[in-house]
Amino acid sequence: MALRLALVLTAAPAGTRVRAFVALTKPRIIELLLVTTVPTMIVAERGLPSVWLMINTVLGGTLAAGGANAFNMYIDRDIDAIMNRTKNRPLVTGEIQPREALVVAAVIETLAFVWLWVFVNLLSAVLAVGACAFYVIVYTIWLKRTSTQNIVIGGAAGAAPVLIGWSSVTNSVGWAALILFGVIFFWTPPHFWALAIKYEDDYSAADVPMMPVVQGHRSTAIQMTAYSVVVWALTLAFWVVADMGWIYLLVAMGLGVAFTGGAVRLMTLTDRQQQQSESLRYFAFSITHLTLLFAALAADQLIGWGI
Amino acid sequence: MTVSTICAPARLEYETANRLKHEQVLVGACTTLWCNSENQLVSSATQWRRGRRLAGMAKVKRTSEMEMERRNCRTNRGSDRRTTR
Repeated sequence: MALRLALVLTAAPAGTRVRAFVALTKPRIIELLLVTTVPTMIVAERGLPSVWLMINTVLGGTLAAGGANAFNMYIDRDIDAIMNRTKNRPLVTGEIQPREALVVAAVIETLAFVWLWVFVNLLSAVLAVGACAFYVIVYTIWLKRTSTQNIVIGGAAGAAPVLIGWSSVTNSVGWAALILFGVIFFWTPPHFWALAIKYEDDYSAADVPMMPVVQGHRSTAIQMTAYSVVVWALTLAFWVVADMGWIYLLVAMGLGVAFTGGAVRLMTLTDRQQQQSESLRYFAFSITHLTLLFAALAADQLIGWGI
Repeated sequence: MTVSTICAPARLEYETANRLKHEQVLVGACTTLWCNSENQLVSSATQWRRGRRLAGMAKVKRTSEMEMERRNCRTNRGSDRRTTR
């Protein structure tokens, strides 16, 4: 094993190897997860929490999400090789060996648990590792290849960072945190199905029963619209429950109109190519939607109630 | 010997049997609920996959299958070599 590792290490330049290991953790997804963590901490604190707590929570969260993503890539390496979108992932190209990926994933996840426990609190550590277990076992191993509801249920793992952010400050999980969890949970299906519409052929080739592949575009777009309305309602409920200010309310209202409007537009399109290009636009917007919503959350708390 | 001491073992036996019966019913109900939910969850994907199979669309080769093929291939190569010799 050591000899083989040494051979691989000498075969590939160090920079390439490092890049491959970073890619193994899916940094773009981690980025999106963390966008929700810090603003949630600001709301929980009703101001700016200590910088060290923020750094430690973000670092622990990054490690936990990175470990979960590495496990996911290890398990999905067979279908990743078939899909155009994922065929350049390091486990498919051979830059990383499957066993290395598994070891790295386990080490990162353990480190995340210890880090969060020592520097944040036990509840946050348990939530982070619980989310990883859910993502790997419930989503990746069980539902992804067997159910059209895969991303709906699996979305719970992606919504966990708000609970971790909240618990890192309060050492508990309150109603406000649960509503934010709901916002991300119901935001995930429209966000991910938009991508699945675009890469429908990929999923079909890999035999993965994503909603647009099994039920078709129109049925998916109808469900996306329904979920976007729920997201909208929950963002407004959060305004009441968390006693937020006008900055947040105005942004949430505007984003809700745009998010639901986009889904409705997708529902009315009939041409496949148009649907696919529009869905990619909607996917990009869904990321902007979440980022702006949480930025508004933070701004509202930091700027105050002035309006 | 009082009435209560005579009744106590019988009552305990009755209560244990009753509790076990309730537990069995509960476990049965949970199992049924779980199986139904799981069926519901995977039914449309299963139908879709069956349709694809019937339509003759190739099934994805899973990692384990690929590894098995590779192993078979290696074994065959070995036997070929032996035959040529």
